[in-house]
Amino acid sequence: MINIENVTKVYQNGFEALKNVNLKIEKNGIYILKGVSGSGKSTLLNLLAGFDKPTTGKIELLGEFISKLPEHHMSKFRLQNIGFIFQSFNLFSELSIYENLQIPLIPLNLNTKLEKELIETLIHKYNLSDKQHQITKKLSGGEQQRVAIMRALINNPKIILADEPTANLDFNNKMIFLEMIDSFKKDKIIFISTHDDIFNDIVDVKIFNINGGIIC
Amino acid sequence: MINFAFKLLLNEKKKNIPLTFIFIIIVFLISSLIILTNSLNKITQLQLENQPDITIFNQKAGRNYPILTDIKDEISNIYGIKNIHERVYGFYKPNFHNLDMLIIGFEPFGINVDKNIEKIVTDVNLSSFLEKPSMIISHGLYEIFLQYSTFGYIDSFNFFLEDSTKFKLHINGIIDKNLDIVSDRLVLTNIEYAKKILGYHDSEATDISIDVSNIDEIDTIILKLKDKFPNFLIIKKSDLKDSFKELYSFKSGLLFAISLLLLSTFLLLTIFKSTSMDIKSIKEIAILKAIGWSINDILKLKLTEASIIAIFSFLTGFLSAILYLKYLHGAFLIDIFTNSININSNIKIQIFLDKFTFFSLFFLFVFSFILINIIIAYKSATTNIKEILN
Ligand SMILES: Nc1ncnc2c1ncn2[C@@H]1O[C@H](COP(=O)(O)OP(=O)(O)OP(=O)(O)O)[C@@H](O)[C@H]1O
Ligand SMILES: [Mg+2]
Repeated sequence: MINIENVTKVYQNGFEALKNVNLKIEKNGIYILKGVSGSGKSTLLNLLAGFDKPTTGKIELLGEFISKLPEHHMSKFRLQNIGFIFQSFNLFSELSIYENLQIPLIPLNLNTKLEKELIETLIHKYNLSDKQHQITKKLSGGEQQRVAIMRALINNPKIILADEPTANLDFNNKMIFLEMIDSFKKDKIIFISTHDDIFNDIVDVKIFNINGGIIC
Repeated sequence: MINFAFKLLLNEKKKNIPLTFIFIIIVFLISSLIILTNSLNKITQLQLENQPDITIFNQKAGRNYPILTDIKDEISNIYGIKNIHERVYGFYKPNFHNLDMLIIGFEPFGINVDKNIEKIVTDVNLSSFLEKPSMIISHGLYEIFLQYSTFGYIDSFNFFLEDSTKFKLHINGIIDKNLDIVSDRLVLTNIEYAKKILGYHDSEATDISIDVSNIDEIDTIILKLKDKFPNFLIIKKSDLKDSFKELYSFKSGLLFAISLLLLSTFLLLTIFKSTSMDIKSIKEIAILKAIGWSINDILKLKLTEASIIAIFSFLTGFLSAILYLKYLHGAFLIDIFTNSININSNIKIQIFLDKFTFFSLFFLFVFSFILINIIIAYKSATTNIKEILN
């Protein structure tokens, strides 16, 4: 559950990037935040991920008011409940697929067997088993994005946030991306910011439009 | 965590290998310098301990002349004197090889003032030593003798006396290479023969050494001695200590300056390396935060990384310093910091290493490095990550 109430964000230079945003998501599924460049999409996503705090207003995720959460609690909350997908993937490019997927698990101190099982199931599910020990900088953009998605999924979070995840992908890889998110939309809230029209055609999505920091 | 830290370090070979290398070199240099001074201090201290409380020389215009031994009777009348010895030692130049041999006379059945000599002498078979005029020589000298012998074997050596006659001493023993002695051009022989070789009369010696019963009375005794022998040079052990100290405090000042210089280089490099924390490491930290690592987790990772580099470099540098001092005997360095008057540079210096030195160096290097790295990591782990990742 995501509940955004009267949220504004004023940057240090005085620019008001979000103006009294209200938004409520109660069911699992895919949600699209659409808007032109500079409309405030990333600003909102950063608030949802807890990378930044709103100037005024409240943000509630899964019953937790994260807009008030101190940093050390926020990181724990993020580890357990939020998976974040970036436009530029942000993988550890010198490490293998397998190693990249290990990283979110390190703070959890799982035993090796359980860890291996988690990672291999996921790699298998998204058809990268034969490349699991290849370093990620040698993968194609589409494959890298798949790894980034798997990394967001590895801790089985309830919420997936993605900031323009398809901007660096070609058409084929965009389709693969859609297939992937489709595979886990039933038990997660997937919140995607984009100006990509490809999301218009999929069924079952709710689209919010944002313009000049206002949801309309 | 440790695994991950290793992987990250290995991924940054270009950055980490030069860093580790510089770290090792600096640890090596500073450790060598410090262990070396410690050892030299210890050695001089040990040598001083072997010195008598008071030494009397017949010195005129800066030169030492033989002293007449009959003043011993006069000295023994002074109250508070424990024992008096005549000592005979000096340099002998043979007519070949540019070489100074240090001749030291000892009393086969008497008490020898120098504890090192005492130790060597007790190991010698005295009866065979007394059968014919004999000497014990240092290993280094033995090797030189061998070079000049035609048969590759030598059992005696001819000294030329003042009247141009030859005087033959048999080699009765060779001092163990590893023994800590003042010179490796050393000849130990009966005091009687030493006098002969050095051109002394029977009633002459190099100096007269005195031990007192009560060290508090030493100044009164010295006053009395000066009164009795106004022309002689009378040296107190503590004066000797002071002059040694003076010599070393100058040297250790220099040493201190160099260590400080090296150390500041080290710190500057560390700080420089860390503050110029490249975009890549900043981004790394931001990614970790974004996927749910807490600041603590990130600091733990950075701590592990820094510890791996610091401990590895420190141990490597420190061990190489010890190996260098032990097996190369501190070549080059020792020449800078010692004066051949005190320590014959042909001699191996004995390495004294205490826990305190080890741990101080360890804390100095490892902790400062880790600390600086952690502070910098903390700074980037607490800055806002949203700009870095988009
Ligand atoms: N740190 C900041 N300080 C001041 N202004 C900012 C800051 N970050 C973003 N802005 C401004 O806020 C507005 C919204 O930015 P935001 O990044 O949320 O837009 P966006 O919708 O994600 O755009 P894009 O599609 O280009 O990514 C922009 O006008 C931007 O210039
Ligand atoms: Mg954006």
